[in-house]
Amino acid sequence: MRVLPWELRKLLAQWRVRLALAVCALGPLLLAVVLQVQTGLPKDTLFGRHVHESGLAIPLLVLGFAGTWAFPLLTSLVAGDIFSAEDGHGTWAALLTRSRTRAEVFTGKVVAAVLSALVLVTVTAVSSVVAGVLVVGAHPLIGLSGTEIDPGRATVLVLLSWACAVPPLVGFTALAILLSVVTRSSVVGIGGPVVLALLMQLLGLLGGLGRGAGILLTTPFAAWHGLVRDDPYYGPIWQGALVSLVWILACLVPARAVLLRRDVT
Amino acid sequence: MRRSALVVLALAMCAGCGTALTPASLSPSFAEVFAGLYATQQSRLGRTEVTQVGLRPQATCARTGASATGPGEDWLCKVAYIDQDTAYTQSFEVQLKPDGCWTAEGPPTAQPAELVDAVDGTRTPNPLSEFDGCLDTSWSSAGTSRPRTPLPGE
Repeated sequence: MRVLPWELRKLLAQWRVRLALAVCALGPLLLAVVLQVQTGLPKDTLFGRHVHESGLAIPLLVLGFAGTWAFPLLTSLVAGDIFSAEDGHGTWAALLTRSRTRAEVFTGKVVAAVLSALVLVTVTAVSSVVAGVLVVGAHPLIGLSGTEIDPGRATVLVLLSWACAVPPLVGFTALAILLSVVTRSSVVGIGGPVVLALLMQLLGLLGGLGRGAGILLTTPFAAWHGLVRDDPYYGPIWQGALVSLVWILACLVPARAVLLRRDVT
Repeated sequence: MRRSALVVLALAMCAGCGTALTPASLSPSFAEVFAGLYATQQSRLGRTEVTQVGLRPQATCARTGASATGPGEDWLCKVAYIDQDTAYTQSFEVQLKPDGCWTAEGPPTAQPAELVDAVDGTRTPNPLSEFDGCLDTSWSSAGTSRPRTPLPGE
């Protein structure tokens, strides 16, 4: 685990990562202010029609919107580059002559990428709750079963809803790592998961897959819909966690094999 | 390679899974959300005694087009409910999206965009003019409504 601190230091030195952190921290506040001053409502996204009535609709609006492409982009900014950057800088040979095995380097980089994704999402979740409460106020929220949820319970449900996005988020982290390792290109590592996410989104929107859409890695981003109501249902959350786990394994196992066998000299 | 093989395999397995977007799953979801919002609407107008369960909502949803199930903008939901011992029905046009969430639009005459308080004239948004709900589309949901606690009188 001694690889991890170094990897985190390398990440924090990147302007891209700092910029992402700043956007995650300040973006929701900006969005809340813009929504508050305009009369129109973003009705196309769930909870968009409630953003003037309750500040707790803001984090759910952001969550519904972010699942489409922002989550894959956020995680691939780090994960899509963390291996291929060593190719870009020609530093693999130097890195692997240190007293750490390739397996340790792989694990350290994966943990660093997952941690970064978790930090970025946590920052966005907290800042959008704070933005909603500060700008609009902690009023009761009309849930997806039609009844009003009191602000305290709504806040808990909002944070749980954000937690539901973690499994598919880590799935996209793993996908970005696989692309980064295999192609050795940061462009593919960062852009690839975003393009794939948009393609999966499109496949889901066409509706032809029916229940088959459940295997797409973008579907679990909507699993929280079952939570924000009086009588929650958890089927989509368990299914999403299972599907994400399969994606994570299907990406990380080959990525690790490729890196362990690569000739870097 | 492994991933694409897995995707193909899972798609093949799920080809017969069909759709979770059926009248049997939309109708109870619509009835529940309608009744909840109706109670919210009435409490905004000062009638706090109206409750979601007390309305005994019954909805019948169907597509008006060629197909009977699946996503589309041609769903129509009729809901019957009881308020102060009088039975009412209302119809809503419903757009059902592939992800299982739906948006209902009420007739503007019966459900205007704003509610006007009869006493002081203040305006509040009418929760029933347009509203959203979501269905459980997970593999365990079986295309019918999930078991729920029956309402009194059912």
